[in-house]
Amino acid sequence: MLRIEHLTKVYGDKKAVDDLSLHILPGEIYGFIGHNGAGKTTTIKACCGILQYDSGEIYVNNMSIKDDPLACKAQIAYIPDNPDLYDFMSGIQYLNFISDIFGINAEARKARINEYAQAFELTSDLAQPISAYSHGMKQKLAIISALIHEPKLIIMDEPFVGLDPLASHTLKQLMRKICDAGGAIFFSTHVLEVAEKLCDKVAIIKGGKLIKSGTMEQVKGDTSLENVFLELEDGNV
Amino acid sequence: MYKALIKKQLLEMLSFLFKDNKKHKRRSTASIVLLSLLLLYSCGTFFFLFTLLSLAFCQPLVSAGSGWLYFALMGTLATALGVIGSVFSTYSTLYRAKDNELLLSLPLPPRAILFSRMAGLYLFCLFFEAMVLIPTFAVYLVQYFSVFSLLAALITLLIAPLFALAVCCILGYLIAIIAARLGSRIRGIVTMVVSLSYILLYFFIQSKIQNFFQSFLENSEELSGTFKTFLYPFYCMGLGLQGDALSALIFIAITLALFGAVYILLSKSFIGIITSNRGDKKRVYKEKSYKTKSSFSALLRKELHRFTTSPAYMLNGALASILLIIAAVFVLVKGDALTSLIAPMAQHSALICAAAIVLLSSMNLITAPSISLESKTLWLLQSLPVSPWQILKAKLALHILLTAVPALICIFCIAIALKLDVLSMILTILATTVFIVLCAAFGLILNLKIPNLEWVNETAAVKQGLAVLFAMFGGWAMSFFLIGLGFLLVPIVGQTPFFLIAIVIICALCVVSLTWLKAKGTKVFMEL
Repeated sequence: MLRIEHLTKVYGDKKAVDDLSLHILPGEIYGFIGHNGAGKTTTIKACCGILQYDSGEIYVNNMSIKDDPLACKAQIAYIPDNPDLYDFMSGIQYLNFISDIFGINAEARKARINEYAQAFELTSDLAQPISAYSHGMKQKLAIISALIHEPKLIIMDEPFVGLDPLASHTLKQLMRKICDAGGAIFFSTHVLEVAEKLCDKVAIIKGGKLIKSGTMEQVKGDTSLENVFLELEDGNV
Repeated sequence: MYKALIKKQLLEMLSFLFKDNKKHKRRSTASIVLLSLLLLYSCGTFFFLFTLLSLAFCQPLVSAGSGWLYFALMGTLATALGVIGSVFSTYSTLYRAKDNELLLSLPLPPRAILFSRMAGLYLFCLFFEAMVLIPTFAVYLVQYFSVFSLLAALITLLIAPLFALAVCCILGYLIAIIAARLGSRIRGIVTMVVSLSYILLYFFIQSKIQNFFQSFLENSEELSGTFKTFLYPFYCMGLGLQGDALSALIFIAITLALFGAVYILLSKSFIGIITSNRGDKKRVYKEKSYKTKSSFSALLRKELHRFTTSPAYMLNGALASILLIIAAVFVLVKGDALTSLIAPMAQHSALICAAAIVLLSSMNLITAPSISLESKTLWLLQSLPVSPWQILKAKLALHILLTAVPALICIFCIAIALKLDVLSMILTILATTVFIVLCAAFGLILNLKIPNLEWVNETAAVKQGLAVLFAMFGGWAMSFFLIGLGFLLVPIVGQTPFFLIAIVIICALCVVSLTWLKAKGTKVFMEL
């Protein structure tokens, strides 16, 4: 579903991402962990076609994001770490805008908005301007808008930040449901317990380089993901 | 603490000059010099205009023994310019700044935050007032120099902006009080109506100012009484600058008292106003039938939505649209006056009509800040499955629609009033429409090349961006070039051939601009 091959992104003299390769298969929830500034957001943005990269290649469903960005973006949903949405719109206007961009018909849009807004308890706030939303509400709206076109691949940057426990639980359930239906999810997180429980595979990045990846069992073995992460961060790679 | 806050405020105000917001680094020295020269040129134009005005009034009034009236007049004008120039920034800087919450979370007394913001606004007022007061004092001192007058002029130059600042703060305070009690939509409308009324009042005064000054010269005796009654501080200022120390002290005392009262009032209510948001009633969501739109329509609607919910964007971006509608109504009502006005050049009435509309429409700056306004939401457009060209086209379309429709209405009204023939009307419509397309493309190119994506308040993106400044001057330059070309060529080739030449030139420029936007502009947009 998502294939990253030898991705390199340089900012000035600094390699933010250095020869990174990952392969996310349909049905997988793939966790992406690393310290602050490790290159997670840069990788995620490159996968979504927001950031131009220096070398390597990224394929979404075997289509290159460089060569056919629109076709790739039509299959992706991206949720950034800080959901800055259009403050001048109301929640429902924003969802309609996203639906129009993805060409979702009126019936499907109605059903999906109802379903997801209810799931995230946002229905009664949909008429409110986004400028009046809290961080968590904006995050919920960003998630609903990401799910509205039934993407095959969801890429999320710290999706649980700002969500209340109920919304976090709902999101985890939805993530599993989407992957069970053949979709794939690639997300970064600092909450290692969540990654450990939720992810089928995990990749650890440090200084822009992939230092460990594989199934959860392969990566953590008999210990916890937190211990593995701390050991790797200490330099015992 | 005060020093650090004032430094931050000054850095924020001057950041456009020293920092390249696109590359997130300091501008090159050459770029800073170029920008400074452009600013100097703008200031120089104002200086020149007010020097001419000072030369016209100084000697006659001083010789007639009404020297105080000269200073009072120019002082009033300076204060009006200071208020007009700073009032829009006052509300956004004092109450709507993005870093209000950040600063309030720091161990700073609210009065210190207020003081630093007011210090920045004081410099704004000083800047605008200096453009009137420096020529006023210079013209006077050249002819009637004395050490006292020089000292009085320097003190007045520093004190007078406090008066304008106090007025700006009162107006900003009223807007903030109203805004804190209203919902966001009504807040936008109220701000828009108040600001628009203010602008219309300004234009009304501008249109009458020549008669006003003329009547002052003719009836200075009678009118000076009115001045003493209604504009007493300026009366004292005038007398003070003429050597009356007591009047000078009264002017200083009135100004300081007014400013002090405003500062105390604001420092007591500052925190309450910036943290209150009482009026936004919760709107209940009621499910309606969903209407689907094409992705381009959705993008255009989004642009329109942003535009109509931002009073600052509406006023600064589409002032010409309002003026074109006012002009259309004026032409319909006072068509005879217009006909007699251009009677000596009646054979070129279509050309005059086109020149006026081209000049007015070049004042619309909708595309020039449109990229900057995306700011933190830029990721959204970049991540959606729409081509960058579609995004840019939506921005162009909004500019063209909001400018061309009022321009067409105006053309029709002028055509009716001046009884233009069909060919002249078609040529006028064609010339103005392609010119509007060119202005839209020009503004967008400028904003792609020099975006300001890190603004603290929206007004900075809409008003103070370099792209906006260059688009404004560029629009005027293009208009004057076409008008000048008309004056040169029409006597040689005639009106209709000139129209065709102008349309071809503008179309060629449009093709070049739109081709650049499609080929290079789209790449620039995706790399922002």
